[in-house]
Amino acid sequence: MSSFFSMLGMASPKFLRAKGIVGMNLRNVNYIARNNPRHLYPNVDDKYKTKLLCAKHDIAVPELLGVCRVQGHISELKEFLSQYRCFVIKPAQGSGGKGILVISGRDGEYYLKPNGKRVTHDELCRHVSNILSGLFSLGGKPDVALIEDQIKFTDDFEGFSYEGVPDIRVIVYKGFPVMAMTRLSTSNSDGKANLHQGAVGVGIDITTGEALRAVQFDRPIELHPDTGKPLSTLKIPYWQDVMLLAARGYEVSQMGYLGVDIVLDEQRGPLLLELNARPGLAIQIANGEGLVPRLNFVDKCPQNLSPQERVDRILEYWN
Amino acid sequence: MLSSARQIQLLVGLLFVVGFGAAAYKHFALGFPLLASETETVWQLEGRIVFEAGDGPVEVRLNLPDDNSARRIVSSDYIAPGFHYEEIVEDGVALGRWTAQEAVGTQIIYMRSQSYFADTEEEAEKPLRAPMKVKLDPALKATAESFLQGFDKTLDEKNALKLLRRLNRRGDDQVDLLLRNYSSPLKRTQLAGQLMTMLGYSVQPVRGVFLDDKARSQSIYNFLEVVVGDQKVLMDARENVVIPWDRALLLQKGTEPLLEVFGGSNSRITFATTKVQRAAFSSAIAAAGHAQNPLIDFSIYSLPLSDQNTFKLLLVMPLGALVVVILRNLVGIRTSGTFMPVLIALTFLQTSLLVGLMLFVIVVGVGLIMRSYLSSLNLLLVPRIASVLVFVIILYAAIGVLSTKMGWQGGLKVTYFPMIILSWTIERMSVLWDEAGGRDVMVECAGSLLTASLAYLLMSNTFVSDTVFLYPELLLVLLGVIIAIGSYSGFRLSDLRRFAPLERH
Repeated sequence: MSSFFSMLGMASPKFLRAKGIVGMNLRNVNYIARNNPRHLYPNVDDKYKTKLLCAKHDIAVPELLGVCRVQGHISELKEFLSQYRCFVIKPAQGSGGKGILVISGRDGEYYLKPNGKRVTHDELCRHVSNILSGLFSLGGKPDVALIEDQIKFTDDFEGFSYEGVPDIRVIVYKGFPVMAMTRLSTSNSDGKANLHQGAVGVGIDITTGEALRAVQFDRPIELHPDTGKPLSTLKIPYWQDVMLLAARGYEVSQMGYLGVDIVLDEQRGPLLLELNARPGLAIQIANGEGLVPRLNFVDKCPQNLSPQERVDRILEYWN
Repeated sequence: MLSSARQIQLLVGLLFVVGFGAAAYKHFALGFPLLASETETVWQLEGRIVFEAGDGPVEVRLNLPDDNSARRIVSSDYIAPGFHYEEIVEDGVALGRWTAQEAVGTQIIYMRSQSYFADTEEEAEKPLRAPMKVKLDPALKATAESFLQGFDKTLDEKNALKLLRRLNRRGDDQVDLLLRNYSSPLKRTQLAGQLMTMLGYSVQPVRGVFLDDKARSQSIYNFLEVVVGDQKVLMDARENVVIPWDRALLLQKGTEPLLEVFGGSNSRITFATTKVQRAAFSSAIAAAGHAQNPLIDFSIYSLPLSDQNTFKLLLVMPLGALVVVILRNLVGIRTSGTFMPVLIALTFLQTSLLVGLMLFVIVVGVGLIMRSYLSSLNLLLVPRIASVLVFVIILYAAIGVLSTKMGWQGGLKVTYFPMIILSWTIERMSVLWDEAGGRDVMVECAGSLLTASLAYLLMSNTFVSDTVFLYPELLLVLLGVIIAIGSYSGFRLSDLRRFAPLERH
């Protein structure tokens, strides 16, 4: 039977079940539908709301420089942006990394993207206008554009990321950080840390923060495709802090099955970038492990523990 | 409170039972055929009543064919200007009654009734309503008794026919004597009935018409219903034969009057019969509707025909939805817009598959090129989509005109495409192109078209669409399947493919 599946280039269901892989349907039916109450979605889908909630819970986030709410604001953009050299413009309700414009420098009149491509002011204004019209939001809802400070990421990622901010995705189940990976941008992904668009996913040992294995487009790789650096040498600094921050994402969102995206800033340490109520499953390929055993472990753990206690439980169990 | 998994099991089970149950009821109890392609013969009887009206109120009563399980009336209607019509039942006899406050001169009333024979066996087993009694004057009775002396007293079909033959033999003194006062066909038949009753048969005179295709101006014909053994047979006393039940349509039984005209005179009725072939299911529907079966009376069949056709189209949409559910949740194909493929498939129903695919690719392809130019104009979102919409309509017109000029009518079918949906599709694909590249656009486009094509193949299949139209309650079963898939938490085919690297490394 398994040879039948491998002939078709597929894994056998039996193998995946033994591995404890969570499939799309299982994720949607068992984890998302049961643990993420619908009315809480706006808190995570709207990054502006997420930022406000994080401020309330005293959680560190990338600094919000400004919010562009109506088309009328666009004319003020030029003056407003003149004081910043690097910034990120993103739709508050975008999904899957859509509509994020990263500006990492200037060249006279032009803005520069991380890959060195020039962006005119008119192009930038059109991008903001598209965001406000709801081009990137679910169902075309009118949106607002957030202007954020660009992260100055730590040297630890030197050579591991190409032209972009690497972020760390942690799956947090009922407040327990159960699986992690880091997403490294590549020339394919246009400086974005989005696996769909060709970023490299590196599975991270949940206890140590060290790299396990890496995948790009769901296929295993050894070296970073642009820099050629061996990905197995990657180690995330401040790992304990990252875990704790991820665990606190549960208190912020109240979502039982959550993807927490974290970036490491040179000066400020781990920052919560955004929350995701429908985190993807590629993290399992990056880790070479299924989520099911870890989720089952959490189901047996007592509830109402503090974030630190939850992190300790996880570390204890896997050590 | 039951767990949700248990609730789903119960709900799905319930939907299956109700859906299949209602379908089985319609098939077995109401005689709905399994296949819509089955045809059957329906006989159309047209009656033409002519009479001279007096100058006062007029009432016309016509004995209608009985509606029973042996012969189902499919439809009945009439043309009678100035008359009020109602169907009444008097002493178990169905009558059509036309009334008018005032009518002058020659009046003509047309009635039409379509019926078919569901079960002739059952008709043969029904008892006589009013068997004849011997009513002959003593002299005639004595003649009849001596006439009957030579006959075999065993009651069977052969002997009964022998009696009729003897009665119809010309130049027989005894017969001439008997028929002295019975020269009309009606009287002769009645005499035959009397003689048979004297022999011990149970007999009832009935009147009706022969069912001959395209027979015009038939007048009413006299038959005898004779009980032979435990079976009832229909005999023609003039031709000395047994008539099969489905060869004649009986209007009047026993002593019922056939046609009564009050306030008029010189009334005559003639009949025409026509054989009509039609789908077996439409007869079953019409018969059940005629009998006011609530399951049919409150179903889509009670709608006007043109509305039924609309529903015929709507009823296949759930099939398209099922295809989308299967392809997305069991296979894991990506489509642009969840149910856009169903709308595309609906369009294919109008254009046919190949023409539809071609037109879709042309419109979306050209639309994408136009959209890529618009994106450099820095327009707001809604005006941009609106301009794509206008462009799409211009494109429709261009394709229509060009294809007609080149002698290809297929291009006109482009108008069936839902242009607003198409404009949005173009916009989304264009954004996807900018965001994720052409490859993703192709994947989504191919997924959508594959889904639409499969949905089309299912929805356009006449066997499938007729079955759904015949048994709309099967949609409940379909709903059950969709709900069951909705709770399926196993792997999709795409999961198996996606996680394949895990197995290899």
